[in-house]
Amino acid sequence: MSLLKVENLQAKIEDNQILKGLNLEVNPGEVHAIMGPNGSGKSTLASVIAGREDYEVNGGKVIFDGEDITDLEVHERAQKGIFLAFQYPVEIPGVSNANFMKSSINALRKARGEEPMPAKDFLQRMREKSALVEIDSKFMSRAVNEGFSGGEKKRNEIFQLAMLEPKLALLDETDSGLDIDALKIVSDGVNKLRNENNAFVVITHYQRLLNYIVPDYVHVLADGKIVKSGGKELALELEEKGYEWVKDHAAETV
Amino acid sequence: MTDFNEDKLIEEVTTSEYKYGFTTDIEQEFAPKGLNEDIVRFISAKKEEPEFMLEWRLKAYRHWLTMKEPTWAKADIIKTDYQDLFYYAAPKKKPELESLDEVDPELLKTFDKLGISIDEQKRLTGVAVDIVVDSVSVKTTFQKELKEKGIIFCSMSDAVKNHPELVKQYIGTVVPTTDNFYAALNSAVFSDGSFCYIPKGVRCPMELSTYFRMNAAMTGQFERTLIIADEGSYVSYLEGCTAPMRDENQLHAAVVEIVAHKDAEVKYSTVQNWYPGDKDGKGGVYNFVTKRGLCEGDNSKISWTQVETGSSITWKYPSCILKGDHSIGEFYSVAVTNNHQQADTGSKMTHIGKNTRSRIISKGISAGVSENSYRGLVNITKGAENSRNFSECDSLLIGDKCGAHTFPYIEIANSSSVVEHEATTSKVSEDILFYCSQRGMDEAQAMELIINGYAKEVLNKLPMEFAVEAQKLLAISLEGSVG
Amino acid sequence: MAIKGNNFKDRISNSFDIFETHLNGHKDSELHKQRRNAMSIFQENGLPTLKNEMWKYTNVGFLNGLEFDYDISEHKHSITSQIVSEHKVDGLDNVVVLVNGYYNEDLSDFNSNLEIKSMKVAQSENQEDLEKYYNKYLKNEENVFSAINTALSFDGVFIKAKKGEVADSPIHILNIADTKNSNQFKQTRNLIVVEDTAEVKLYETNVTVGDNVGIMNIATEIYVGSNANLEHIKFQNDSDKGVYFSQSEAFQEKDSIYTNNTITLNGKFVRNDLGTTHNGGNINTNYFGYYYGSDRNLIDNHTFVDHATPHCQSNELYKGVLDDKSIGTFNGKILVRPDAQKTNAYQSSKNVLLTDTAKVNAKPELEIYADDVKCSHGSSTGSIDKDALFYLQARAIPKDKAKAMLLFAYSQEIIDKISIESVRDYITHQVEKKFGM
Repeated sequence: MSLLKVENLQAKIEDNQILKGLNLEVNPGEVHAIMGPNGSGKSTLASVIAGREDYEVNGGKVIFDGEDITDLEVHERAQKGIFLAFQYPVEIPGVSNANFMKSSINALRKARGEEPMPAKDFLQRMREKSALVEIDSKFMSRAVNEGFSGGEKKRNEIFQLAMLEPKLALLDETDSGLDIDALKIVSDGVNKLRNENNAFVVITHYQRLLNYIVPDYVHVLADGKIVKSGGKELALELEEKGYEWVKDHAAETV
Repeated sequence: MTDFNEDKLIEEVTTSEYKYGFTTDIEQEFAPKGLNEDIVRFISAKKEEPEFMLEWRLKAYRHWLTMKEPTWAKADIIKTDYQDLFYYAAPKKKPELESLDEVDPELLKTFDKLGISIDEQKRLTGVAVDIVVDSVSVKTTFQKELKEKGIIFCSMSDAVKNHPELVKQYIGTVVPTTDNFYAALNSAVFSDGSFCYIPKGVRCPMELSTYFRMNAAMTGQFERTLIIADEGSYVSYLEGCTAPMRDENQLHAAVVEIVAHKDAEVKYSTVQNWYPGDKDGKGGVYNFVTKRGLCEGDNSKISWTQVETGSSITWKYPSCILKGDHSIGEFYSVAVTNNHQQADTGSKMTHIGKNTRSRIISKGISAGVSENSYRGLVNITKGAENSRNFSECDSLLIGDKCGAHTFPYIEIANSSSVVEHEATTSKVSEDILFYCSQRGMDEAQAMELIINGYAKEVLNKLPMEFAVEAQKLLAISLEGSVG
Repeated sequence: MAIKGNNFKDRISNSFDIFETHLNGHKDSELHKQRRNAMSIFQENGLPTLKNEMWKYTNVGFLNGLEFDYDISEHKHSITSQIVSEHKVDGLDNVVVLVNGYYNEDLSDFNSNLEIKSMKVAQSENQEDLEKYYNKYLKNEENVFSAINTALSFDGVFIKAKKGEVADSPIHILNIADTKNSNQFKQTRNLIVVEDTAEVKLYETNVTVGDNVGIMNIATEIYVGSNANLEHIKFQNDSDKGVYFSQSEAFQEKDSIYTNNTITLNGKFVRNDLGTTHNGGNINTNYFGYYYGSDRNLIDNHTFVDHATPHCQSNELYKGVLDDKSIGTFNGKILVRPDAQKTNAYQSSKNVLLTDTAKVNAKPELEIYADDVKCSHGSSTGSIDKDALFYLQARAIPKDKAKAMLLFAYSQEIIDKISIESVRDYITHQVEKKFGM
């Protein structure tokens, strides 16, 4: 059974129709890359799968783990194992990273009918996972993303990903604004977290990221639809020929 | 696709009901309704007070008659009919008890419902508790242990009887009977409260605590608290307040006076969750309190910390008069208003001594159709050389039907002093809520996390046991689904 | 004519009675109704006391003891063009002169593309404008000095920039109180209309000539149309006899900019009330102020921004220096009404106290009824920067000189906001003179 199945998804914001019948199927253990020009709907896709209320779904559905989640709330989807690494991680003044993660983990556990995680285990896990993305332990007591550099914010997203161990991770332009060293750290972190039970949807504008996180499939999104799908070599071809090439050849794959 | 939106959140947040709304059936004894000199005499006689106390009360009463109710605060107030209140209500079973086991079981149940089982608290935390139900102090624990150190911690009535010289020396010296309308009224009719004296050089070994609760219908509660910290002493004092649900507006006009002598330090913490009225603004407590501390001696320090979530109307300005050189005054406050609540609160810092320091941290949170105002005064007088004040007043708005206001008064007459004031206003943004919910938290959990983060600087100032309770209170007052 | 009465209220009432007896058949005019309404507001309220929140730090009780003359037909004065030229700014040739509240044709000298005339004349020539804008913005109910002005002002200046008209040069409005013969309490009433997309720059100053007490009560109503831009500079550097009450009330339409810069260097008593109301999106309001109090000066600045509409901005910075036995008060209020979402309001007030006999009162208020706003205010008061002073002295600069340099530098942040070069240079020079540089 596929982990994520997006069927003929249509979504709009205000009067702007952004997704116009999008299909996507992701199986456990797979990494899918979604590429496309600015404004093609990449970030919208991630937001809609996560359940952001700003968008109105006016057609199609999202099936996760065999269940139609189109009408579920954001936190309910998160509790089922969908994780969104934000393109622009949000600053939360006064709330420490540790406290934030504790609240998050315990919310997930509560949803599964489990007891809150003992403090000792939690701290142990924090130490372990922060090492994964090379984050200094001092940062745990700092407010979530407040005063973080762009790179630190993105690393924090991957740290949270490691902490929460979701079934499906949506990485929304996690590579944008990263220098090459930070990019390597982030990619290494993701690669270490990959296994046969989880799946990744990597949204990016640049082929560069895919040198480090090697996808099983590459999809090209243009004007609210996936216009071309292929293997990892498609990314290279795109880099070389540009998105215009795909748009011109869109008809071929439909 | 999802109905997680701000409107829904606001709706939920604003329909949170009062958790502590129940009345306890304890037999009560009332003084006749209304207020006149005979009532003042009645109260004084009932409490077997010495002559000086009665005279003091009558003087206050006569002055009160010449005063007018203040109208300057930013609140719509339903006029109180002072002749339609009971000024004295005491539990009928006269509680001269040796142990908590002898306390009226109904009363203990009340505390259990409040989630502050005193037995528990006593055992686990070593808190000495002076409980005031309506106006009479029921039971004071840990008396003996405190006695050994020379600490006097008892009800105000006992203090008047057993330590009249101390009461006579200090009462009304920080908040004069003529200070304001409610202080004058309180001076005339106060029925009980707590008294605390820490002798020279003594560090009070435990947190002292009073739990106030208004029970009887149509009573005004007028407690009077007096804390004296003699030279080099230290005490941390906790005050918690709850009131059951009543449709009528109940009046609460307390007076708290603190005197800190040379090198003494007093920490005064309040968690106030009097009944705020229902979600349509019906009922609730009018909380008009005068709290003032005098840093009498050099190097003395008084800190006020308050978490205000209750009352339909709060007017409260815990203040410090920094008379001694190098004395320090602090005020840390979180005030939450929801539904139709109105809070007008802040602090007054009067710098008189040299090198005096004050700090004001005020965090206002408004939701529903409530109004939340910070009103404060920093006064640096001419001789207060090298004094410093820092004030920070932040407002957080939840929903677009509430108001948040800042009215700081800054008066400076000394050129070597530095005064800084900052204020900001922000809202709980949808981005933050989305971020938290994407990490699996529901609205209530997210809200609790955000609010506690926002108020952390103040909550951290509370003693441990109180901080936990205060966090819960903030959650209760702002969330619908917690419980 | 001598006025009867034992106190200020009686004298003002008596003045009004005298005025009414001189009216021939004009008692039913709309204008006179407005006067009478305003008068009754004053009579009801009387002079404010310290219990009045708006006058908490400023005692106007001295007015009760002041006797002054009253003559509504007064055109007698001793002001010469020589005196006027002493107060002109090099490079700013357009000057409108008002003497004791009356527009003076002979002393005024300007060449402007704008419509500039006396209020008296405008009352007959610009009836449509007056109906639209006159007595619409001034807060007679809240400020009795506005009420007095409405009741007893007879002239002032009317300036109008028609739609799309860009003033070819700034206008200098010079208010003179002539007190050679007696104490004066005079009203000036101005109306400034800047229609859509027009642009105007005004420079307003006050002087008292003569040894008696001169009290000027100047009220200015301002309309700033859509996308219009008005820069309004007030420079107050009067003699130690000067007493001023000044109210400016602006009304701004969408996309407009109103910038006020109020600089006070001297005056016995100065009270400025500055207000603006927003009526549309994307409005910008800028308030800048600098005041230096010496001797026993009292300088009181009250500002108010009424954010009534969404997506508007206000930006406010006031700086004060208080020396000797002077008193400085700053009361800045930002009101954000329920509909004014996305408001961005910023306010800062800073003060330096030079002596322990001087006093600062600051009251920066925020009153907010909308949630999606960015509002902040800050206020700080301290002494002169001792480290900087020491640094300069260590570089061989004498203490007085060093102090003057620092105080001068402190004022520059405000003065630099003035866009009219000649005015900026002039005020800078006056500040230098003040500090003996």
